[in-house]
Amino acid sequence: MTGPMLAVEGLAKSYRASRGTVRAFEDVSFAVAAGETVALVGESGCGKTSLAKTIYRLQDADAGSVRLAGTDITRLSRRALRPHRRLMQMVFQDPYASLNPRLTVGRILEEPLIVHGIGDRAGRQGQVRRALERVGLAAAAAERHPHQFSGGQRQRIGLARALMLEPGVLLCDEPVSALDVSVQAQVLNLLAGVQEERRLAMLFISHDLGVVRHMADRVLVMYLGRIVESGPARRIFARPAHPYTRALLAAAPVPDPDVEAARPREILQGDPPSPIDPPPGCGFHPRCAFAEARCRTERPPLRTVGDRRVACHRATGDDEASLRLPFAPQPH
Amino acid sequence: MKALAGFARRYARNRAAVLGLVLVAIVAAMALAAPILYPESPWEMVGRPLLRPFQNPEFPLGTDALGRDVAAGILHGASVSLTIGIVATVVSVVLGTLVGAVGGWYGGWIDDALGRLTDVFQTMPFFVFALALVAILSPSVGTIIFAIGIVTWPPVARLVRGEFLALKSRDFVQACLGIGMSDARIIATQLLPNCAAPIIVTASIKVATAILTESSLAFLGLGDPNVMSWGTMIGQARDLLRTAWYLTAIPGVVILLTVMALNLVGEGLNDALNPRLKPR
Repeated sequence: MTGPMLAVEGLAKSYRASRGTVRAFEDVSFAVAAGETVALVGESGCGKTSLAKTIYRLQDADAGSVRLAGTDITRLSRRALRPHRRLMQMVFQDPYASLNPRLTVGRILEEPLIVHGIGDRAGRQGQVRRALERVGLAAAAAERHPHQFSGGQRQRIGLARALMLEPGVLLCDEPVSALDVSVQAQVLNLLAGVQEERRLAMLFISHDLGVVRHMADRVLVMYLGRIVESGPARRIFARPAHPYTRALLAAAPVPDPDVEAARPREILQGDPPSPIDPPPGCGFHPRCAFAEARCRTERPPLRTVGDRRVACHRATGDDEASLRLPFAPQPH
Repeated sequence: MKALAGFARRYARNRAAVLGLVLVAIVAAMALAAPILYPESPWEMVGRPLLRPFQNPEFPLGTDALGRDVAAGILHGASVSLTIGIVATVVSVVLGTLVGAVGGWYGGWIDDALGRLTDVFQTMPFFVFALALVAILSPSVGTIIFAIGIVTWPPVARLVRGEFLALKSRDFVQACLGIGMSDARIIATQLLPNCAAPIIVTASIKVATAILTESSLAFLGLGDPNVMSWGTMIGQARDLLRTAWYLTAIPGVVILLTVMALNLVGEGLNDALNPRLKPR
C-alpha cells in the first residue's frame, strides 16, 4: 500500500448544547504516513480530544471522512467496522480512568484478543506476557489489578493494550499530561521506541510543546476547532508563521535559564472565544496583536505558504522572510 | 482470596452488621430445621388450644386458638418468608437491572420510554399495587413472589441506570468500544461488575422489604393458604390480642428481628463494599 495509513478529509463535528450549537471542530484535513508522527497541538477546549474520538469512531462525524489504510471507515456500521479497528488503536489521556478497576491487568490486555478471536487461551497469555515485557513491566503484572500500579506504569499498560492488536495507526490523546513530569520522559521514550520499531502512523495530541518538539515529525496547530498552521515540526518550531503558533511557542518555557530570561515576552491576551458563538472572520482576531480590518470580517483560508500551510491573512508571500510578522506587537 | 479476606475484615468492623448476619443465619437454620423438627404440617391441630409459652415443654411457644403448635408455625414460616423474600428480590433485581442497564447504556428514546415505564410503576403505591395483583391472580407463593417482584424493581432500575450513565463515559468503557467489543459484552463484563456493590446492598434490604410485604399480605388474608406464614399467624391471632397476646407478639418479634437483621447486613455490606465512603 502506498497511500497514507490515516487520511482525514474535511472532518467536522458539532454538539447541540442548551445555548446553541458547539462547533467542536470543522474542516480538518491531514494525513499520517506509516512511520510518521504527527502532533496536534492547541489549548484545552480547542477540539483536540473530540477530533481524536471522532477519528477513532467513538462518535460519528457530521461531515468529512476518515480513511484507514485506504478504507473509508467514517460511515461503516459497528459490525463492519470491527475488523478495521485492529488497524487503529488509541492510548487514552487518563491512565486512572482508562483501565477497568475490577479486572486484572492480564485480563485487560487479553480482552482485545478475545474480541477479535485471536489465538487460544495459552497463546493469548503468551502474547500478554510479551506485551507487558515490551512496555517494561514484569510478566507477573498480569495477575495484579490496575490500582496496584503507579500512573506511569498504568499508562504503559494502556499502551500495551493498544499494541495487542498490532495496529498500524496509534492515536495518543495527551498520553503523558496526567503523569508526573519525572515519569513523562520514560513513557514518551517508550512511545517513540515502539512507534519507530513498528513503523506506526502516530497521531500525537498534546498541549505541551516541549513534548511535541521531542516526538513529532509534523505539527498541526489547532485553534477553535480549525487547523491554523501545519508543517514540518522543525520548521514550525524555528519560525512559526501563525500569530497563534507564535504565542503558543512564546508561552512554552525554554529549559535554558539564560535563554529563557532573555527571550522576549508575548503574552496571549484573554480567553479563547466560545465555540458556541465564534467570532466572525478569523477566529483568532480578538486575541491577535496583528489583526487588521480584514481579519474581523473574512476568514483566512488554509493556504500553502512556503514549507507549510497557514490560515492567516498577514502571513503572505512565498518567500520565507515575509512569513515573519513584525516582531513586537504595538502597545495598545 | 485476599480480596475476600479484606472484605470479611471490613464487614466485621461493623459489630451491628455481624449481629445482623448471626440473626439471619439463625432464621435460615430455623427454615432448614423446620421439616426435621416438625415434619407434620404446622396447620395440624396437635394440642390443647391456647397453651401459653413454656406451660407445656412439648409446645415451647404455646399453641393457638385451634391447638396448633406456634413453634412449628414460626419455623415453617421462616422457610416461607426467606423463600419469598429471596426469590422476589431476585425477580426484582433482575428486572430492575435489565431495565436500568438497557436505558442507561442506550440512552435516547429507549431510555425515555423505559424511564416513563419506571415512573408508571413507581407512582403507584407499591403495597396497594401488590395487594391488587395478588387479589386478582389469587394468592399463592408464586403469585406473591411475582407481585412483590413486579412492584419493587423501579428503584433498582434507577440505581443501575444512574451507575451506567456515570460509567459509560469513562475511558475504560470507551477503550472497550475502541477494540470493537459488543454492547452485551461491555454491559456484562465491564459495567455490571462495577455496579455490583450498590446492587448487592440494595438487594439485601429488598429481601427485608419483601418479607415485610409478604407478612402484610398474609395478615390481610392474602397469604398462600397452603403454607404457614408469620403474617398469617398474626392475622389469625388478631382477635385474641387481649386474651392471648403472645400469639401476635411472637411472630411479630420474629418479623421485627428478621427485617432488622437484614437491614443491618445491608448496612454492613455497604461499608464493606464501599470502603472509601467510610474510612474507619
